[in-house]
Amino acid sequence: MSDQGHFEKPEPERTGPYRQFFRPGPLGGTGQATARPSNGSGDPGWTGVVERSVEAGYRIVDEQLRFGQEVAERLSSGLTGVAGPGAVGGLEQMAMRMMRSTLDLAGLWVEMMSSVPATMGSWMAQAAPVGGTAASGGVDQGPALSIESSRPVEVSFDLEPRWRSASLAVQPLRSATQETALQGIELETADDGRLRLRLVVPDELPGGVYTGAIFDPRTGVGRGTLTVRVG
Amino acid sequence: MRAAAVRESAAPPSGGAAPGPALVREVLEEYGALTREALEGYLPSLEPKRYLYDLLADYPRRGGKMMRPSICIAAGRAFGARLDEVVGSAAAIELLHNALLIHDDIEDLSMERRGKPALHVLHGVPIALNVGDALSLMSLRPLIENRWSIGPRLALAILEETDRMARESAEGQAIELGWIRDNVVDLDDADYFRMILKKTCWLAAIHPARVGAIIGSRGALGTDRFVRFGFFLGASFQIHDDVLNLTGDHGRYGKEIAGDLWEGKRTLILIHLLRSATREERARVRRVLAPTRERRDGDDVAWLAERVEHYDAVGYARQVAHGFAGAALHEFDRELGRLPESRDKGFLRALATWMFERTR
Repeated sequence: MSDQGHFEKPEPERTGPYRQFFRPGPLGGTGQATARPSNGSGDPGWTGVVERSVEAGYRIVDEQLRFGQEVAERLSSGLTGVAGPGAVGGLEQMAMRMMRSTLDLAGLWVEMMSSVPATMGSWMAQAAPVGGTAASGGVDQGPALSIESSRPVEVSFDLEPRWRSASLAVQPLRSATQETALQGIELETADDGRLRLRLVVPDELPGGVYTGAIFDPRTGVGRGTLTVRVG
Repeated sequence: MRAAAVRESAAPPSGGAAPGPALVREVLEEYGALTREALEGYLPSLEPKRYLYDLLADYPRRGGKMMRPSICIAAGRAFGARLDEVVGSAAAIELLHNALLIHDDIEDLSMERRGKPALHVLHGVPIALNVGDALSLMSLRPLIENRWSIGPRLALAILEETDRMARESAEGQAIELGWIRDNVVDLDDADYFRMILKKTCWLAAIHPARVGAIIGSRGALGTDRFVRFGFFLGASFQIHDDVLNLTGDHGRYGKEIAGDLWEGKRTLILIHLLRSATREERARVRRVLAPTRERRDGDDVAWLAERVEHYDAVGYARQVAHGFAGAALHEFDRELGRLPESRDKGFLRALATWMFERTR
């Protein structure tokens, strides 16, 4: 009672709505027989369950992300024995890791490795014996090759499989450093439906890398590229 | 490719577009059909058909929800990818998902899948295992062929993502199988969330969204992107699936009702029951879960179901799932809020609430 004889309401413990239902400690507690949680919205039980669960969800995702970052850092600094030094040091290394680990599993991978020349190195079709003629089809459904050359030759063939039975032609191959073009390349479909590439490397052709487009002669649309490295 | 049949992604969702749940159903049907068409191209019709190739097509043709490939395509298109750039990856995700289902059904001793007997029930464990192996290897083919549609750099980035997802999924499955084998019951909700982050969320949501977004953004996607969104979406999906397992209509759900209790799965529902039960009840739950599925008693499983109902463990799980859906919406705004409105963006947003409408 106040000095004037009036009753006064005590100061409230809080003046705002009660919103904090989170209880520290293990989510949901352990070993306690609990009453049924009610389903009504605005009920502290309902809100508390959601709040604690979402908080735990964020905590776990963040744990996972931190762990992933730590692993990535270890891998990139070469401190782990899992993948070896420089494990994430570039696409070529990654591709080589993949090739090593998966070649045993399926021949599928062979094709992948053999047909991503821009990133993972050329599809090494054939190094022609000196003064000889070589014929090879490579390891997959790539074209059959017929090469006449007195020098070592490396052929890189970038052509989507679905075009490998189409009627195609090859432009004269040009070099960035030489005036002379490598001409007279024949591309034809053999009786077995396989593409056959005939290549004659003149003795007078300077060594270097020669590149040209493979195209559909009926429409002029490019279908791939052919690169020849002459030693 | 039926790209012409696909609606223009850039069209805003307003102005006659289907509302959330209807939009989800519409997009799932449309992208699901495109994925199935692409997927069929990777299922050869060779010999031995009876023991392998016919069986490869069994689960994919039973008609799943196609949520995973649809997330991949929608995320890709929302970020600006063309359909032909993402549909191969979507097909790979669905192929791998079906391969893992075959193995999961064996590991969990599940009897049904998509309304029919599980593959190992029909053909025996050795043949089903081999079909699962073959299907998982075949899921690599579209990823290899990605080099023609998105180039070798992005194709390798998607392979890296697939490697990451496969490890996470295997770890999650291992954790769950280990809990069952060792009859682990001292678990809390955080343990469960950690397990489903790996077992479910990576393949169900994080991976498809990341793959699509990587293709659409031409590789300009941080390593953390979509992990939180995918976790909350995938976890909400998994918890609702656990609820359906106990409360669903068998004809629609397509799996054995209460199969999780028979299999001793450590679901959020079971963990809540263990937490709420008396000391004596908890001891009995532990005894009931100790034997393998074949030796579990039907009366014991009925008692578990009754205790689940008594402690409203399903209601508890529903609340958590709804909360996670809300968190997924929050993360959606963080991840995709700045992208222009599109039908695909609307689909991804609406997925969070569609989860609770589904009955299978």
